[in-house]
Amino acid sequence: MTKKKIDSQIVICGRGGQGVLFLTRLIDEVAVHQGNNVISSETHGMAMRGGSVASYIRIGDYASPLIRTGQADIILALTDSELQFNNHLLKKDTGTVFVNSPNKKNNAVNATRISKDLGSVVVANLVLLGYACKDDTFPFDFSTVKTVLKKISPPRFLDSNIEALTAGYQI
Amino acid sequence: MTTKSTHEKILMGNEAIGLGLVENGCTVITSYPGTPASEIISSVARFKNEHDLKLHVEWSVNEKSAYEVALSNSYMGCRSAVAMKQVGLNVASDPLMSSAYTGIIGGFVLVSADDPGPHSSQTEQDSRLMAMLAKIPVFDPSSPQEAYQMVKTAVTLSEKNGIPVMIRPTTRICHARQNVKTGTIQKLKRKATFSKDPQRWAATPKYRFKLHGELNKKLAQISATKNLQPERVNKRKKAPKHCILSSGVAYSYVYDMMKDAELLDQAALYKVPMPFPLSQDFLQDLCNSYEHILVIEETYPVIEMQLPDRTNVQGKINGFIPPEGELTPDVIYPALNTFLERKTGKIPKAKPGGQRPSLCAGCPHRASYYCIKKALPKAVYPGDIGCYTLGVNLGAVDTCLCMGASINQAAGFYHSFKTSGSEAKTVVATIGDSTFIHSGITALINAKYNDARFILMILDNSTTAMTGNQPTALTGVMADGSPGNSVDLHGILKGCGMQFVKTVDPFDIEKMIATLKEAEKFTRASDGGIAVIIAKRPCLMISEKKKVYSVSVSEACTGCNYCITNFECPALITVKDRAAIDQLSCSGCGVCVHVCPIKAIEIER
Repeated sequence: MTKKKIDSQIVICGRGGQGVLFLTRLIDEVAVHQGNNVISSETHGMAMRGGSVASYIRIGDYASPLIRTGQADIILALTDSELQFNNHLLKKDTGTVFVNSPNKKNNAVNATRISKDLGSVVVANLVLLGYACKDDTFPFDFSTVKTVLKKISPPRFLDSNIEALTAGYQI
Repeated sequence: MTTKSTHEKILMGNEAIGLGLVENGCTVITSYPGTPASEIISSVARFKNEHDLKLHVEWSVNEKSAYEVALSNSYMGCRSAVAMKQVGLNVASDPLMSSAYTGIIGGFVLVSADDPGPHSSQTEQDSRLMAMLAKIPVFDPSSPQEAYQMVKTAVTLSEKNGIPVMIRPTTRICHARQNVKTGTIQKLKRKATFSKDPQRWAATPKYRFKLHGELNKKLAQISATKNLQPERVNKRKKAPKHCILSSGVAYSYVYDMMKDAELLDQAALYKVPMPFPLSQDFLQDLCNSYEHILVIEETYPVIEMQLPDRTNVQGKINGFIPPEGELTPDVIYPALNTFLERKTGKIPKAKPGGQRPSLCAGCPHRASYYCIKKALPKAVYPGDIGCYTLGVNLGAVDTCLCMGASINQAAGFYHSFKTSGSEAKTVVATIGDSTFIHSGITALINAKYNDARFILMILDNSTTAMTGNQPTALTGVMADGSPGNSVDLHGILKGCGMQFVKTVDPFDIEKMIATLKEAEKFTRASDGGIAVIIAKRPCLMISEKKKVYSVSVSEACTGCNYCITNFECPALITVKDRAAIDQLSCSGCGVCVHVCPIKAIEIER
């Protein structure tokens, strides 16, 4: 285990059923794997039936699980249209957004199309994460994320999960 | 749950509570599913199986049953726990109030999870107020780590004083994940013994008076226990003029904000681990020591109400803190600044909106509701609590009061029409299988007994879907996965005197519509009564995911939007002003084929 002290606040947004929860748990595990404290918040219940969902992850010396307006370092948007409801959370000058979108814009990747090509639309979340790992502002590197993903993936999804993460990273 | 080292795990708040219950030797743990409390029992069941523990974990049919089953284990000297959501506690409030008087022998912990917001509930009620009404202590954890530790404190306090103890987490604690330092599982080798004591366990009013006195003594003793009272977290020499009292997750927000803005020397910050009972001496001293006091708590002003002198107190009672809604950091931040006489800079507003939840593509409930609307468009539709409350999007749910209310409201609407002499509309109540077992059966007996007439559709999807697909009494699988006994729905309906009972697959649209019309006739026939239709098809989440049909929209589509508005399936989308099927989300149920008025939705063979 490589120790790396991290202070980062991450928002993951999308729709119920897009794998926001899995991505949250994966990032939680990566943070702890590198020797950090983590506290995160998830959406459960009725909103998960296709409604807007958002998770918040706070890595470092934090006591509470929510992110205040203008405090997020990173937003990972699994649906482009959900970004507008979470954008206010981003740090004004230094925050970075990674978005799953067919439109050409900054830090956008068509993760849905790539995952469809890989044969499973449910791994678009990992394509986006792999893509974010390429960026210097993202607190985790690809190989660490990959190691942890291997550890927590259910055996029958292991290969397709790693494939999706790698595809995103290799864009 | 995955392990970092031997004694540190990333746990969801509910898992942390579940682990705490198991580690502290609880041997009967019960619940009825309800967001945000559902994962407590599923984690207990998992720990039971992982560690091969001898404990009874159950999904009870409702919260009252859950409470009474667990309580009885504590009457026998063993440790127990019951978990539920805040509105579930309304259902269990009868045994709660009474058991505070009888007390217990083995430690008894009640976990009642609140939902400020609300995110997934019909009220924002504060369970701490229920604890106060019952006169039992309540703990308010500020993190998953603390929730885990508070289980031990609660079990010990309960056992020492012979009193039920409540833990009140909120959604943001239940569904937060944190790396939690954990301990080891205690296996208490206690033999269950029932010591007959009728003046306590079967107390008549005369002895109840005595028990009430004993309860008051227990509370006085607990409020005098020093380490349970609020503690100042930022101990400095200098005594500031400002004081902040806070509990639960709101405390953690306040702490983080004050630390971040370097304000921890500007006010004395007190964390309140046990909001009731608070020591009046302590509170009086606090009121004497500070010029300004701010109370930040969710959701009702429980701590605030207990302050003996509120002249200099800011909080929910005077509206300084919003008296409704979740106290998010964005809500607290400006209030905290104003209290500390600081300016809040301009904060960008969140854009309102977002996608509303809807029934899944291929959900059998959508087909049922479509048929109800089609067959009986003028009827009144009392609804109930579950995924199927989302039938409101389809205009087929007119009311949503509380668990089991659909049937009583159907009866009430019928009697109201009949008594007032206004045109008697047909009433169609919808209720899920799990909700019917929870509190629909007594309602049906009441309706039959008092001669009400309506159609009852039981939406039987063989699971408790909304809360994460827990098994039901009809499926017969128990909480830990072992086989229990399934109860017979038809037998229940027969026993309730139902003469019209038809089971229909909701995907058979024509048959369902015909059955609804037949049912309406039965409710209006001279020798008729209540007509029951069981709409039977398992939830997609628990059935095999196989596309039955491949559906597409033909060139004939005029873009009238009828299907999108009236069927509201997430797989029906608009592409270039015409309807289209989103093949990624389409489950291939083929029901929408019946919906298009010009038959432009087709099944590809």
